[in-house]
Amino acid sequence: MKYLFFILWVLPVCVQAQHDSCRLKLSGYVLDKQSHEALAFASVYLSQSETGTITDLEGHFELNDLCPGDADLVISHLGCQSRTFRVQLTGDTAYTFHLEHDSRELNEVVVTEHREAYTGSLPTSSISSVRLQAISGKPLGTMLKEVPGVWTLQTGPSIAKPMIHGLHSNRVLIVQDGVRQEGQQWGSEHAPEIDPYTAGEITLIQGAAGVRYGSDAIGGVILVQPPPYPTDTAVHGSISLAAFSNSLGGSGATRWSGQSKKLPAMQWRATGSYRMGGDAATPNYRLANTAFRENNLSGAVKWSKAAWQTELGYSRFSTDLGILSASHIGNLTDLEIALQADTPLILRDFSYSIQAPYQHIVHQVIRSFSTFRTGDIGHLDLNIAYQDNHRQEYDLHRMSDGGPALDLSIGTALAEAEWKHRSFMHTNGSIGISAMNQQNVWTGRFFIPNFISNTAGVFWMENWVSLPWKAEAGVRYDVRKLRSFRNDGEAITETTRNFSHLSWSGGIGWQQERLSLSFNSGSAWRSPSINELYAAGLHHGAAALEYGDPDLQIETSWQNSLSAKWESARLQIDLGAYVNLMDGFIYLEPQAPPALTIAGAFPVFAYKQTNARLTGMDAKISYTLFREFSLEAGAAVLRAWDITNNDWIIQMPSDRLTGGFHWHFHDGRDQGWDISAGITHILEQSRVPDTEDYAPPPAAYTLVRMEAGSELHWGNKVVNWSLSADNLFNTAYRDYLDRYRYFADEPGRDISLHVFIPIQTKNKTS
Amino acid sequence: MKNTLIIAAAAAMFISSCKDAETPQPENESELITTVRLDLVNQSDTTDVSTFYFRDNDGPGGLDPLQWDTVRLAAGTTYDLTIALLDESTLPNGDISAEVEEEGTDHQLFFNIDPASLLAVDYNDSDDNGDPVGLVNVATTSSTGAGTLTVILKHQPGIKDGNQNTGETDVEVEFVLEVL
Repeated sequence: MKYLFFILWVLPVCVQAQHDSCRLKLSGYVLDKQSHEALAFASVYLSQSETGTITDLEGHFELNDLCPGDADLVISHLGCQSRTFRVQLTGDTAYTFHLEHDSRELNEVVVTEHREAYTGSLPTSSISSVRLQAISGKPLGTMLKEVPGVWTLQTGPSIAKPMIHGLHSNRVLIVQDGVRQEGQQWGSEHAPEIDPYTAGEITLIQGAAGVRYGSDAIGGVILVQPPPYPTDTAVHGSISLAAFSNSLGGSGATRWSGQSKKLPAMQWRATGSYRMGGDAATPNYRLANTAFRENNLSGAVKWSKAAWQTELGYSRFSTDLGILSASHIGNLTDLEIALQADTPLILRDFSYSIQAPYQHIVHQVIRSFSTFRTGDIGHLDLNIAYQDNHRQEYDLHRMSDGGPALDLSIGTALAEAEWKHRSFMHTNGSIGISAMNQQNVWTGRFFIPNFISNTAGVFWMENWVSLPWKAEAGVRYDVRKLRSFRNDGEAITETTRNFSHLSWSGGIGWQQERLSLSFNSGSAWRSPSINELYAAGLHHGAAALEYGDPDLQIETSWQNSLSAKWESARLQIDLGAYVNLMDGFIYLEPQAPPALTIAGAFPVFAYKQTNARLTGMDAKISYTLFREFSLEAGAAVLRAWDITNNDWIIQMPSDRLTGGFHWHFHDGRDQGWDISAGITHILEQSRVPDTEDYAPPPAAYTLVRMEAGSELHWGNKVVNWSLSADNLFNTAYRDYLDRYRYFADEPGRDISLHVFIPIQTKNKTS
Repeated sequence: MKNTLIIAAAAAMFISSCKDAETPQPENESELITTVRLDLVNQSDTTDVSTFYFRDNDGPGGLDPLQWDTVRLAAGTTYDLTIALLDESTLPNGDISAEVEEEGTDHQLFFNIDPASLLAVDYNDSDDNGDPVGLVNVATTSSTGAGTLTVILKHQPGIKDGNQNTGETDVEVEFVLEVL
């Protein structure tokens, strides 16, 4: 059966829900793709545990005593070179691998469930499904903080934006289920509209991955990938619950997936989740009006035939986010009064109520992904999506009609076609085109104009592997036409800007059993965003006047990154270093003097361009002291320098050091336990520009986190639970990257309980 | 290909529910305070009326204020002082003071005089809770001198307690004050 086109094709044939940490079994068969004959003496090697085996005469293999998490499996057979790919171990698992017997060519893996997994030479990190369970119920931005090199830009406890190597917002692309997230991502207080509960795995690409994902991915790409569909006819489900002591909040999610018994070609999945919390607590007071509520729904149906596959999905994200009352200020005098006060000027008793100011956001996506076989030479992927983002920001001041002060509605239609050729001369590659149409409409108070944006791109990339070497190269060209429309009350004026530029990327890697090295050089660019061009007016609540510059040019980035990995039984080292040279880096510059208005003095900011150099290093080391007790240490360092003005760049993260241990053991009743603790030290940001900030950067701080988790046997079910404490010692601190630092401390101790209950119905005959 | 049609139909549905991006609404339609007017009537001679303005018709930013009067008052005089807050960016002009009066429990005007000996301002109105709003006042001058009069309107929903340091500032205008 020529089910799919590449040489290795993975089919999880059976997934038993038997969570017994580090007692997992991975078994399966290795078969010839054409003849379905067993491949005997194929080598199956698991790099995490450094264990391996050889298939028997029936092509069968078995690996025992594995820990849950990602498993990088290397399979090789006579005449073929070994190839690593990733499977997720959550229970005892059996896979069947179909190897195409073609000794001339390198084995290629197509794991359709992981179609977005990145194989290039940029440094990547991922958060596995097991880890996602342990930190469930938090917003995406906060979850990603675990990854070295990732910081968060925050507006209080509930609004968190990921920041990769000092870059954020329009410079970081989020791709969910293969669709790039498009909303009002330019705003630093606009959190990504993503439900982390839909993710089976979150992968982060650090660096300019613009060729594949769109030119503006200067800082990096966050891939939110769904869990794989089950391939048996049972209905698989799970319930995930979490409770948080700090905000007296909680979250719940349920996920279901299955395969139609009557129509075996059809698979489906559905997720629903709800998160809520009251006012967060700092060690000394409550943060008034920081309650939030969020509810999300998503579902997808997939249909697979021999020559094609198609998936149709829908998701809806809806949230209400309270804005700290004390942070909503009227003018500079208000700000000075707030800065002089040790505690926020508006305090209230704990409450779940969300009052003005607050944000109400609804984000909906409808998408389809199809793949068609194009003879024996390759296949064509077609990705089409429409997403609607409706953001309403309510001010303390009610508008006369009771509506939001700022109402932005943006619709984005996306289409992408990518043709992937089959492996030829050790080389895989693809060419593709993409197009995007975007329309933005505002009502309420003016901040950014209506616009229509049309983007088109064409890309080509190739990837050559001949172990221990691999190399890749890619090139992309994009054009963007941005038409904006303004109405001064008498006439409508239209302004058109055209942008176009080339992106490219090249990389080389060298990989052995323990050591792997890779180097990547790439260039990406982005056109100025709508606010950078045309923002004009009061950024309400922030008490600032912001002015765009309609003549801004594109921002280009040239990045070189080097990463090194060492993996042995005891020692794991992960090192990454990067230099990012940016031409026309767009930033917000404070202007003098402040503007005098009827409401007092306002600081004035204008968007400017400069040349910048961002250099940094991320490191992570883990060492196993004895059996399953390991020590971990990490560091992330960034230096952001404005070359034109010979000064540091504002709002860049300070250095971060982490340390901790992880202990896995089995108790007397043979239940697995995981206990870990971590300490994070954030240095004071001393590298800030001479231009005035409202307040100096806050002092350095140290936070301690502890986690304990195990399993409960509940009837025939195994329920995983974990208990964690963030900011264990209830430290009062402020963070440089949080806008609330002018007004209030960060949240104090937060103890949370996470429970994961898998549910599986037996195969039914009806 | 059926999916493509479904997406196209859904997209059309979403798009048609939006307003057209090519016809934006006028940018100055939203509620704005552009003007503070001080009306002073001499209690002992009601024909002695003085009016002083602060006007910034395009709102915060943009052009500088159009009119920013010096407040000139006679020494040893008691005036009825009323404050008018207007939106003169639209026609007809919006009367914001009527809204402030209506939402009196959420608003309060404060008058800061430097040096304080130049002018005494006493509230002469009250909201539904019996607290002052500051739209109607009695202002009394004594000796001659020069200084400043700062008129502040605070929006203090649920937190109004006579403290001018809490809440959000809607108006803060510093007039040059001369008592002749």
